[in-house]
Amino acid sequence: MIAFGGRREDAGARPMEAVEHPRRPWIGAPEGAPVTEDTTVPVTQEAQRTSGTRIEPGRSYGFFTDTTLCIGCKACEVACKQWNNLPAEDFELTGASYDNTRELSATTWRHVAFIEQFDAERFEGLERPPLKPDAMPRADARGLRANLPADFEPWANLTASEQWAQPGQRWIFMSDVCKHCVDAPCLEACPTGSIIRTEFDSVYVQQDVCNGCGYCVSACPFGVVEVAHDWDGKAHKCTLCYDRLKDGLEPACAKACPTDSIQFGPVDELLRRAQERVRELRERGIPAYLYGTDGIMENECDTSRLEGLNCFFLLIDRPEVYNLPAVPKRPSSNTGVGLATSAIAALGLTAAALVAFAGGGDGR
Amino acid sequence: MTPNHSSDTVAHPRIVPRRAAAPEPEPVVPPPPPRQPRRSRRPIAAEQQGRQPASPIKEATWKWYIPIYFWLGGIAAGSWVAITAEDLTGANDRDVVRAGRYLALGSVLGGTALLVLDLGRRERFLNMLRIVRSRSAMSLGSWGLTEFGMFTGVAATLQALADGALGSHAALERLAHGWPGRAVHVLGLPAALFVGSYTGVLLASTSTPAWAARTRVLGPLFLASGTASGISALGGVLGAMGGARPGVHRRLARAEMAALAAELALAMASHAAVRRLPSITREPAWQRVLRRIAIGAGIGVPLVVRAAHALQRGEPRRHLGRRDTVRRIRALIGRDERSRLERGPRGELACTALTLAGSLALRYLITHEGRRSARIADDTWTFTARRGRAPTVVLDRGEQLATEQRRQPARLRHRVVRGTVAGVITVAQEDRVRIVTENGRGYLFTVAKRRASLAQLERWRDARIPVVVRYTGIPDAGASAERIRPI
Repeated sequence: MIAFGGRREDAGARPMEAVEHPRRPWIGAPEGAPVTEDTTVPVTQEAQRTSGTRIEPGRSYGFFTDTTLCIGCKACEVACKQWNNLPAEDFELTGASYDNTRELSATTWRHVAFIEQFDAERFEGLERPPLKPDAMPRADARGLRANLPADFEPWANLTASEQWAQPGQRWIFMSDVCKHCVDAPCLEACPTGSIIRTEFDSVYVQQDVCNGCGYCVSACPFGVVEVAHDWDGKAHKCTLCYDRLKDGLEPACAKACPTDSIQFGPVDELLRRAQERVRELRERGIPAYLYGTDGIMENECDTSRLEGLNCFFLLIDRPEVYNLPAVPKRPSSNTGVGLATSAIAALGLTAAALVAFAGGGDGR
Repeated sequence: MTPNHSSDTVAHPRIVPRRAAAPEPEPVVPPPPPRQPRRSRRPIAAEQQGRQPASPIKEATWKWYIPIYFWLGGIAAGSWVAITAEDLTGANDRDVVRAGRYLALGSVLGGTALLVLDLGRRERFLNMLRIVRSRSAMSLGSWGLTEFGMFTGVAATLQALADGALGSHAALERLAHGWPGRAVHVLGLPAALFVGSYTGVLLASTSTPAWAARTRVLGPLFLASGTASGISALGGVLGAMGGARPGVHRRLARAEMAALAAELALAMASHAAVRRLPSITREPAWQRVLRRIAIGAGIGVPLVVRAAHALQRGEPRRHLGRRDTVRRIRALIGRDERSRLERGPRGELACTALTLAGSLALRYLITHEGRRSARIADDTWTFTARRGRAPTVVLDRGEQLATEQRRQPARLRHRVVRGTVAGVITVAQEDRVRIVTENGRGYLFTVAKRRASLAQLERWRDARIPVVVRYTGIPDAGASAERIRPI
């Protein structure tokens, strides 16, 4: 149905020696035929199968992360680490739900946040002391529950929609990632020109240029990019799988996501899908809205200073709950103001110095 | 199938008898403590779970080199301001100019070395000069520092020539202290002022709340502090070397006094701008003490001493110290033929030390406040919160408008037949409601059946709770509020 080059058949039929294309070995040119090198459009379009979209340079691509579909499986984290060959973090148990990654970093470009929203009263039965030591046969869930009121039901027989609409009774997840801002502060801050905007409208750190000055780290309003001081001294962040996009593959995290919580595609198309999804959820009584769409169905946030984000989110609680700022600021807008007041101060101080020196001859 | 998989109600054989037996001993067991009267609806916060909530932003990666670079850059800029003023006002004391030129070059070189040391990839420091980016304070600063560095290099070379690096020639002296030397000073002045102030702008142009919240103040503050410390360092150098002509210390003291007064005012303004940030209200005691010491002892005390000196009438008291012996010997062997020895007023060196230490402490403090602010999530929440304005028109304008015209002119916004609007209820009668948005625009709606009761509407009206209304139809002409909920 979908025209596809037929990687499986070709690769199976032809021995690897016959492969001529150095970067896309599975394409396999027929013997004697000249390899047509179209450098702009990827030859294979696997993304058409996996995400229903063609990847063409000159279009804006991004992620639509629907947090209501996320199940916290961390497949995206793993897929990202694997594809990008990122080193493991130090193993540490944080005690923060099932989240031992904590945050995006130089070596973690996808991070699944686990947000436990349980009212204190939900735990009242659990706090209820004191069990005699012999009253609890085993320190397991059954043992705890034995002491609870008979009608105790943590989820209180709520449907999923009802749980989502009730902040005290839910456990929500969000797969966080670089937002690939339309006006990216990190890109604006970079003094070396290492951070560029690619032909897919993503923000990319050129590793052969970055000198690890760390200004992008302070500029990012989302705490995404980080300098790996204990590794290679350069800034790292999500590349929107630039290498995969060039070859017509959708980013690894989106491909791995089992619930389609992470959707990859052209931003305009994703926006359309996202709005439909928000409407559907609102009809079910879930206060869904979009984060990072520069005004479109944004009602708890305002990302207009960054002109929106290419990777945007569907949220059902205040943005702060997901560790996102409600109104992300644009640091570079401070530069002009700061320089202007500095110029005034410079004039004043120079004038003061001149007056001070002029009045200060010998002995006077 | 195994017992482990059975549900609780069928349950474990050990548990069921206990439950069944529970009523029997009940009279004996003392009654359970009364239920907590107030049930907390508050979600369990991260702090209660015993962990620090993750901050949404990353703190600056800069090491201790950076505040010291800020300080050195300020000294270089300040001494350049002093020697330029010395030139322009015709005082033209060669000792002052000599010391200022060497001081500027030394500080710039030292500062640049620290900057390079701080890079993650030091061998790539020249990449800073790959591009010019006017929106990046770091890029502008790299170029400004390069330019200023060149000026200080030229000035110091001229000075070295005049000092006899290639033998003594009158022509070289004229070159260094005549109009070419002065032209270098004047042309380099904008670069010097830029280097002195951009470091503050560099901090302000970040997402760190404690820096960005005082954008207007940081550049001027760093410049004033740098000017004061540069002039002070110059006075200190001259005082330590001895032999400055009369009036020199007086001039320097007057200029430093002006810079210190500006620094004091700006330091207070700078603190006032961030006073309400959670990281400052919850700051550790040492930070508060350090701020007081930096402002009191590092700015206030030298300001008073300098003012006393500058405004004093008559010849300043000479302070003769151990070094005078050295100077007398130098005078005896003919190296210092000036007989009017002046080592500066009493306390010159102590005052210089205070000003320099205060300037360094201030920069360290501001850098540290920023790092702390980036670690504390509440700072970012305060800084990036929606302020004052309720969510304005929630743009639910249909997919066509949304995707094709992401930024629609305001005049078109209210013509759509379906929409969402946020505001405060001013009138609620029966099933009709009037909403006023933050822009002062009024809308009349009929509330669709059972969307909200009159009691609810009246409660929201009285409490002035902002509500979001999703409506169909044209507002004021029979639009129906399909959904209305408080935010």
